[in-house]
Amino acid sequence: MSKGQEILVKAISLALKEVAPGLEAVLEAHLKATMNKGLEVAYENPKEFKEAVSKLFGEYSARLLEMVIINKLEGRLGGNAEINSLEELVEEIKNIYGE
Amino acid sequence: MSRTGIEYFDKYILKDGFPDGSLILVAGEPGAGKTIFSATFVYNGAKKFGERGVYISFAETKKEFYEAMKQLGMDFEELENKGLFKFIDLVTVGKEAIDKEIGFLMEELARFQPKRVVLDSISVFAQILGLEKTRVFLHTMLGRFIKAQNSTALLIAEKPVGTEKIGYGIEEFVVDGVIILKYEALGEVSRRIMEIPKIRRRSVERTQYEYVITSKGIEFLEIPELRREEMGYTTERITTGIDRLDEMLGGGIYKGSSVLLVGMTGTGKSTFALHFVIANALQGRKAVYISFEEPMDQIIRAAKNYGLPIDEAMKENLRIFTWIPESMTPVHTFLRIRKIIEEFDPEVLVIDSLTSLRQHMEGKELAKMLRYLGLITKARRITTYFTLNEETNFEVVPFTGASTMVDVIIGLRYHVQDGSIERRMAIVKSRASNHSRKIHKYEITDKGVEIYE
Repeated sequence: MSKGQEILVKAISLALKEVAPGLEAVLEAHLKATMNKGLEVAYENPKEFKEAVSKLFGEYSARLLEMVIINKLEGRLGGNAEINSLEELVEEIKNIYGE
Repeated sequence: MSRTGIEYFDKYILKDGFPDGSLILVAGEPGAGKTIFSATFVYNGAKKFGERGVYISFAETKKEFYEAMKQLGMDFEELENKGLFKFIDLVTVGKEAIDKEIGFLMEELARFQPKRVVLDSISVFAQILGLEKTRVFLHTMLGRFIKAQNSTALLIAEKPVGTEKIGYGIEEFVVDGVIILKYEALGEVSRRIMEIPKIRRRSVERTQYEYVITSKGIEFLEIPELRREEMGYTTERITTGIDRLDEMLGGGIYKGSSVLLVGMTGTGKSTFALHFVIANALQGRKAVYISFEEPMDQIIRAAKNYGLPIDEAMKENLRIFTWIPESMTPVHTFLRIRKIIEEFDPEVLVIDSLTSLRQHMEGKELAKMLRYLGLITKARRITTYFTLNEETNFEVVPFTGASTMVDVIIGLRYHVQDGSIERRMAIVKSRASNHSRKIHKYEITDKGVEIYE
């Protein structure tokens, strides 16, 4: 797992715990069952990850989670760009870590 | 004004609908219809009045909601595609994330600017937020938004089964209106009741309104206004289908009267009623026979056995309807009878029997239904027969709820004479009519009812 991937997965895990305890286990089971992957899919294909979350928790819960993930990392990344989506966040991480 | 688009509700319950800028609590036990009522409010808002609506749900997914509502004739997907509706499905979050969720929610509302909002349910919020924060949320956040936008929000609250407490105890004090949906077992069926204990800037006339949930959504029991139609009097009489009985009544029954045929089983109540509808149908009057006792084939067979030309009558003006009353609530039964009356517009009607209805309705319920039915039949001048399976000695008539309401009471009874059963009948009451006061002997033969001196 790359450094950028590791940071993102950790942020997702924290965001899930913050939103509601137990969500992480449910989401991991869903990703495993549908894609045979874990949370790292968010880094590889953020759109696909969002679709999976949306299917599981609903469109707006997926948006809420996306916002919480962005909040978790936005300050730490130190960039000036405004980040509005998971795709933009992944781009920013990749830029910073040169991946 | 935010009308619900439910005609009866807007016309008779909350005239012109909810005041703009209102927060309305919709509380009820599971299964009472809170979601359907609230969804109808949003759906009709978009469909009938072109107003944007949002449904926020913590319980159902969008797919579940859309599918369930489609079965009730509400296509929310279509509204979403037209940009008139948003379904916001949220998960129940923990304490740490609730502020973020509220912020997110308010942002969505501010962006979409709906005229109608449903929050399903506020109980979930109250559980997570606690009482103080819930009050702040309702007053300061959602409340301010709703008032600033002149929107209306329905807040659904779960009322635990068997308790009188609504939600978490504070919601009802900070909202502009409270609607309570109740659900109670009534024999083998359930009855749904709406109560509106509080509503600002509106007056609600009745304490309770009955409603049913059908494939068309929520339908209220459209109780006729409790006043008699001002009509000119009529002296027109119509036949009972039995010449001798017409004579005894002074020339038949006044058009628009109601008649109670009361007697034990086997006294021939249904036969008297068949005479009535068949004779009138053959005289060109539309006739309806509603039976809760026998299926159609038995009614036809019985009429034929008594020599009554039922086939001819059915080709012309007679319609027979049969159903088992236990399968419907009193409200449903009333609505169905009223629908038949409205569609077929009969001049004569038979309800056979009140006994079957009474077996699964309380006496008060049945009397109320008969009163409403009486208002409809009087307004339309429908001459109506009700049968009642009870003993009468011609001095006392059972079931005063019906007997005081009707214009004519015909009592039928058995009489044991020299080891054989003989039948006796009497006109116990006939309003404004010089009727026979005698007790008459009668028989049921292959020519039907034959009355003797």
